Amino acid sequence: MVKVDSFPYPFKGDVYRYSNNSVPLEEQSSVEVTSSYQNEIRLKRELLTHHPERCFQSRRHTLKAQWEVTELVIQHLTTYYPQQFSLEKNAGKWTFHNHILNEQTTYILGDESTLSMEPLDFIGRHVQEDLILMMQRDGDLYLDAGQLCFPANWSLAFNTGMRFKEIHKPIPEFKEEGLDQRILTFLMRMEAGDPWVRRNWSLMAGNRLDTSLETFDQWGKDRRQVTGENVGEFVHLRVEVQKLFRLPGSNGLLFTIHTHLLSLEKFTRNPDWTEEFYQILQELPSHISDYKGISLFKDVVIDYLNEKRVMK
Amino acid sequence: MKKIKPAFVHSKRMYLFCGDQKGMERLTPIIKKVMKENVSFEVVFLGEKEETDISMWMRNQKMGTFLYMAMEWSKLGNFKNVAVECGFSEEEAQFIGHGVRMIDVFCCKCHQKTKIDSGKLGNLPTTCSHCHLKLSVSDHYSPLRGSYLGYANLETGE
Repeated sequence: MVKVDSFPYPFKGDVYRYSNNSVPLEEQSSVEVTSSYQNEIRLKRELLTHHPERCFQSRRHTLKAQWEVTELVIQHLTTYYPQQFSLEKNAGKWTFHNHILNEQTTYILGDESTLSMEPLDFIGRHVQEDLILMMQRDGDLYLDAGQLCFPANWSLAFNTGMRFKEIHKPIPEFKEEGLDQRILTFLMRMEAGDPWVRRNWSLMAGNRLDTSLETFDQWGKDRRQVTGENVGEFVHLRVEVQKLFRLPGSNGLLFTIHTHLLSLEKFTRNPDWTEEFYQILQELPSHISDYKGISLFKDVVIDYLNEKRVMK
Repeated sequence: MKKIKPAFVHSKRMYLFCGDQKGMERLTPIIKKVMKENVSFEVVFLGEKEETDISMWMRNQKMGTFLYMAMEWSKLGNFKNVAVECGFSEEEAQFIGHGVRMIDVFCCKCHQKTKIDSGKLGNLPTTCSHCHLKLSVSDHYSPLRGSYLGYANLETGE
């Protein structure tokens, strides 16, 4: 479980609305290794084995960009976590060492026959992040490849091949407020060497990381099980840290998504967070709480936060 | 689904009209306009039963031509594919369907498709013909899958 002190608190201020909340990424690593690395990698690999179509999708023209992603992620792993990951280059052959899992993989960069799977699928099995690759063409961005094990209620299998605005069509008021075009324009202007980061949040009943659309019939009903007695332990704040990188060779965009979960019981140990989140939820418009799937149990959460508030 | 009306596109060198009986009725106002403006045009009538190969006809067209294609929804998709293979882009053609339009619903759970009558959208849920999950059909469309997303219905999913 992620510690409270390292939890990526997602809010700024007492009011939440959809916005382009990206900020420049200071420590320029696309990935982060946390104390739950081994558990999450094990879960990712199980999901990839049992549900390959749900968890990995790619179009053939993305292979060059996939190799770029692999190179970028390995560079970050070996730079920021040199004790855990290393790379040897020997006569054109590269050997990647994962010292946490005691694994090594030898391949020739750019030669897919030297890996047992596609490059994005390979490197995704060594990081806790989900990896989404968008390609730019015809003045638009297309979701053309991804390894996605921990989605927040969406389907990679369905969304692959879609344009940016098509992907975001189901978000209420997103188009009406012109956000889809503004964010698309922002992303299209992104430059290599100038990465960004944003945090997205939701509340969920339970602590599953793999809340895929495909399994909604299994976990969606938990939303009705939230009570005043279990809310602190059962309901979790789910935060996705999304990092955005332009790939200079293919001009694609890499989104890495690191998902963090924290129970409300642990969250409310921080009085500032408790107060701010209480204000946010009280004021949150219904179209946002409906889309985020929290309407069924929002009032129970508000009551719980109110109890935990430290009145100033 | 709203009914698509053909619209006249000005300043083309030549106009191509292709359709079945009802399709041609829909195209009549455009054909009359082209005749009145004395611009070149060709008409290919597709009988309801015959399988007409129009690919050679479309391949031999010159630049500056504009294609109108109007027929039953069930046949339109295949003919549209032929037109695209023959080099017609969406900007150089209009495709107008009539009759019952069946659309595919993509099951969020098993990824299989189920056909439904588009006119019944909004009166559903439907049931996935493969895994039998009850689905709410959304307007979220995937061009690559050629289908609309079906969500797990509240009754079973919540």
